[in-house]
Amino acid sequence: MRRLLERLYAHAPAAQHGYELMKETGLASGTLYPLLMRMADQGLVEAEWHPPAQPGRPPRHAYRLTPSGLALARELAGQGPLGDREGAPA
Amino acid sequence: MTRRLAWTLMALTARSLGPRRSDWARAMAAELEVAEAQGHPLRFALGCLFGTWRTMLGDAEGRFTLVAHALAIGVVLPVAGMLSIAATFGFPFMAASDGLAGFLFGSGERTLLLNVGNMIAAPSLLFLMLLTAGLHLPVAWWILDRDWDRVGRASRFGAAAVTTLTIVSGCAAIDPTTLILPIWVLAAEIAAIFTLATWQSHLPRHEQPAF
Repeated sequence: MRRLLERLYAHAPAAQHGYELMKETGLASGTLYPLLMRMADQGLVEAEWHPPAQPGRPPRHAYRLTPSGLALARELAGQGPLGDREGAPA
Repeated sequence: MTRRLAWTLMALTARSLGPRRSDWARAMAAELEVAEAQGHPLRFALGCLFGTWRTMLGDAEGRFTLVAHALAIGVVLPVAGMLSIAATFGFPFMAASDGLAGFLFGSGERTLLLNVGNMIAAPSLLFLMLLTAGLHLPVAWWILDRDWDRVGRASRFGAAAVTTLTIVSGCAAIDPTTLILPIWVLAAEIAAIFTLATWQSHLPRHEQPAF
């Protein structure tokens, strides 16, 4: 979860697609989606539908940290390295 | 082939996630298109399926869905197959020298237990066996749909068919003990379905998953 928080925090407030998160975190789909579901249930992540980039493609889910998620990410960042936080929200 | 398998796995994932998580199923399906374009849809779809199953173990609703699928796919459908194959090899109006294996795999020799006088019972026995087997297919679907009324009606019908099979076998002078094993299997199956239906009635509504 820490790796995922790290990447979402680095991109905040922009939302990230699942596949891009997989590539950036190195997590497999079988790990990423259960984590995202759990974080969404806990109110740490919110999901939104993005319209397709190409016609004929389905809309995609994109994920971003909620204020609680951002607070947790900041708290964890204070405890140790939480990746490259350049550009992350203050 | 890989593409079709990946989409089949994704459909199974959506089915496993259920209506409460349908948005997540749609989200995974949309990303599968991206994974497909990147050349590894199967790995992505397999990951989603196993991840979903692992997640489901964490909440009562998920555990129930997994057990219902295991019962339907792992018990009800194989029983349907075994009954059909046994009927095809002449159970219960034939005797097999290899016993159960003779009826399931066709090994050994089979001897007709009917004579000219009661041969007329053979089509009825075959029909009842195939009917009992065929009834299992919709039952498996209804279990997954949690349609316990239909499952109950089908189970009562199946029990009536097996009782009739036993009576007709007795009338045709066939040793009724040959039917003990299928009756035991069907009784165990009905007990398992009843247990599942009772479990569902105790499930909390809209339980939050505990991961």
